[in-house]
Amino acid sequence: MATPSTQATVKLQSNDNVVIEVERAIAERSVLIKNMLEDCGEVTDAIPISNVNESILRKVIEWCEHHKNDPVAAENENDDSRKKTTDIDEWDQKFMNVDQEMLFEIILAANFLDIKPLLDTGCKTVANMIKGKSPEEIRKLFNIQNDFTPEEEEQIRRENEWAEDR
Amino acid sequence: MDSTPYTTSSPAPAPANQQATLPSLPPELLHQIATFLPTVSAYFSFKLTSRLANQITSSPTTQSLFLNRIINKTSPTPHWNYAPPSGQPVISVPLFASIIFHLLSRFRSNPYGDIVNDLRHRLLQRSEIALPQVDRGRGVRVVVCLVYWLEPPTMESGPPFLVNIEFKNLPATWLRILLKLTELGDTGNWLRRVWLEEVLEEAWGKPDQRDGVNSTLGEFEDSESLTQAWEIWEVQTGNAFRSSMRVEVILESGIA
Repeated sequence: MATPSTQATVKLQSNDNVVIEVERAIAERSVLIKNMLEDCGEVTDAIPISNVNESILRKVIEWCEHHKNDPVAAENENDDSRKKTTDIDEWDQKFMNVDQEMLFEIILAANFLDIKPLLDTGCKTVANMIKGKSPEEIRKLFNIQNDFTPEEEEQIRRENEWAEDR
Repeated sequence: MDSTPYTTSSPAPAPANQQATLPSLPPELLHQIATFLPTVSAYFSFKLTSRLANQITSSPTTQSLFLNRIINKTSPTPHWNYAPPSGQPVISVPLFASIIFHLLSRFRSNPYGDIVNDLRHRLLQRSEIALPQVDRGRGVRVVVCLVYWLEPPTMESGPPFLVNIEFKNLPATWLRILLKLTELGDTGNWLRRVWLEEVLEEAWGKPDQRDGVNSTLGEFEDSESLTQAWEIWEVQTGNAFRSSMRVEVILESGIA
């Protein structure tokens, strides 16, 4: 492993070739970037974030900046602490109040960049959008194609109707 | 933060973007979304949207993580419904489902203390007898789960006292769990099979090793004790339920 760098900022390059300079501490909310910087030491070139465009990258950086002082969960306690709640704090709710395409882009970016708290927030947001909706309403909301045969759908409904709210 | 955009000296064309949608997410992210669904009914509604969603929500891993989240919510309040229009005390179906799934998902790993502690937390603090009921409007229907404590634990011992205690080490008279499932088709058969083959055997050993347990479970095997349980419930709720209910006793077989 390279000697730890003391550089204060790093440059991130989106897939539409925009370079954004951010504080290293903020960029390191991404485990992917953190590991890369630890492995490479001083990085002067822009780090290509090949799966993320500029607008999403800026949005992710905005989230990282807001949460830069949050404690980073230890790897082994991650699952346990994450399973405790499905709540989303107020700032994150507002942050996630975007159109669906951007929401899913954020989720994909968080997954790619390995920012678990952001990924959780995005997934919780989608999960909360499903709450209280029928399967038909969920399909319509998310443009999901119903690929069940009528018989399959009826069978699954029969098997699970005991768990439905009525 | 300086977020001034720079243009690289040798720009490469950005890949053509496919619009991000829920169905286009990779399965591992759909799995994660499913585990964060806030209610059991949301879980089953999502399951019914597509084959992929059905496949994901049917995964034991997804179910287990989902239920852990549901069960670990600190407040049981959202899962309770004490004042339905009929005036009957009904525990909401999501709670019932979460109990059932939680029981099933946790039996193999043997943390019976957690199960009992959770049931106590959610049910016993409110009532000694809890009866989730689903009435489909087609006569009396279908799913009934009775969690019945004859001797409530002392509250002074505090919530953690049951954690990590194996079920077989609990005083035999302390807890009775009776599940009655009728007309559930494959799901009912599955629940019944799991209960009989896994729970009884794992908790109490093979039939010939269940010294002191048979008599306890036997109290719920005969119709008289079942009737008594129902009568207690009927008295407490003022609900005449038993006469029109089809009863199938889950514990009636499989015990030596």
